[in-house]
Amino acid sequence: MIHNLEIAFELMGFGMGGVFLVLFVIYLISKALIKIFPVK
Amino acid sequence: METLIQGVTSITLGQIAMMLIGGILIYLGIKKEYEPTLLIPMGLGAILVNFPDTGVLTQMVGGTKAEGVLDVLFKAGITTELFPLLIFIGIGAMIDFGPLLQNPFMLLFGAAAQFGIFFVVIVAVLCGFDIKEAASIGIIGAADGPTAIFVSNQLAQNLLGPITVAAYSYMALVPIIQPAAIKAVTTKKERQIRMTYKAESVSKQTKILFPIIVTILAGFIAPISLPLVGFLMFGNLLRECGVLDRLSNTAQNELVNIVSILLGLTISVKLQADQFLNWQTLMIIAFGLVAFVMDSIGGVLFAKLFNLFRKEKINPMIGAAGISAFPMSSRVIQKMASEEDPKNFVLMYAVGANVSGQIGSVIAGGLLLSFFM
Repeated sequence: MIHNLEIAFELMGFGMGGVFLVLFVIYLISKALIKIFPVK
Repeated sequence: METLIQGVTSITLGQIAMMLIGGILIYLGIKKEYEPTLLIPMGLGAILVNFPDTGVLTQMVGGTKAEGVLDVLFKAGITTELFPLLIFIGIGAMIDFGPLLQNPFMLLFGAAAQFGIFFVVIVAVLCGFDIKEAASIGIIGAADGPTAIFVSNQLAQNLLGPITVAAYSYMALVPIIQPAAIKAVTTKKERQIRMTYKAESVSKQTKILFPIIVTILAGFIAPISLPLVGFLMFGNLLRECGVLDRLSNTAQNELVNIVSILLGLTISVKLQADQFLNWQTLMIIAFGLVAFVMDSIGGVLFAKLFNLFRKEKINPMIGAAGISAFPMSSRVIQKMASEEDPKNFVLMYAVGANVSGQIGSVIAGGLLLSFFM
């Protein structure tokens, strides 16, 4: 169980870090799109 | 005569219990209107698959194997992941990313509110589940039925039935679960925080390019999530491109309706008494609740953390809208805000966070899969 618990904590770091990273990149892309293609 | 009463004499107590559970699902769908599109087909399916010796499931007839219709559908639609993915096209066509693009920082709440997924993985491991089963149970916290089916089908097919029932049931119970979880970690003063609505204008080009770029990004960063993200964004592109309104309408209506009928019935293959009635199922149902509560708490606490660094404070309830249950969660948040202060209007922010939760949940599902692949 200890081994599985270690993997579970690793998964939490990987998962939460990954979701934040991807959504932060999408945030930057959204900002860039709004700047590059403003409403006329 | 013996043949006529064989059905009655060979039924087990477990099968009768499952038929009653099927009846409860139908009742909840009709009377309480809890996710009726899924719970009613699943309810009747639970009754169908628990009759002994019927042609609904694969069985031996006179020494030859006769494939049951639900098993055929299961292999075609669930084992191949086809049904959840087709539903994603429809969901994509229904989602307007406009409120999110108007306030892109809402994206971060869609990430924070996935906390329940990973929290429950740890809890499930502590309760003795192996790591892949625990990850499948955690995905209930994605608050997104098709993602839960997609992930658990690959990691722990034996738990697909209870995970699907838990995922759809708790999505329907968001109006009960979220207010309690939010109130536990916020003060009245925090819930009364007003937010002046400021929105960026979003051009048509931005709305068209957004789904394409997100697809490309997911393909590079989390390739296993690409079927989920790609189909979701394809549906959205149909909606936003402006020249495929007919296809967009079909995806939002006929496609989603047909696949929902098939998905609900087919999932019931996993609602057979011998597979469903055990302690694991009860634990999974309990963990599902924990996942939804911790999603909401994770989102709220992240918003409170955000407020430490911001001049203009965010109403922390917005964080809880970062779960994927769209649009129910954003409505719940607006209702709570109005109860605390009738002039507080946070709906558009909540919708932005809620839409972002849809992206966050599929990315989280993809990351879970890529961790094990």
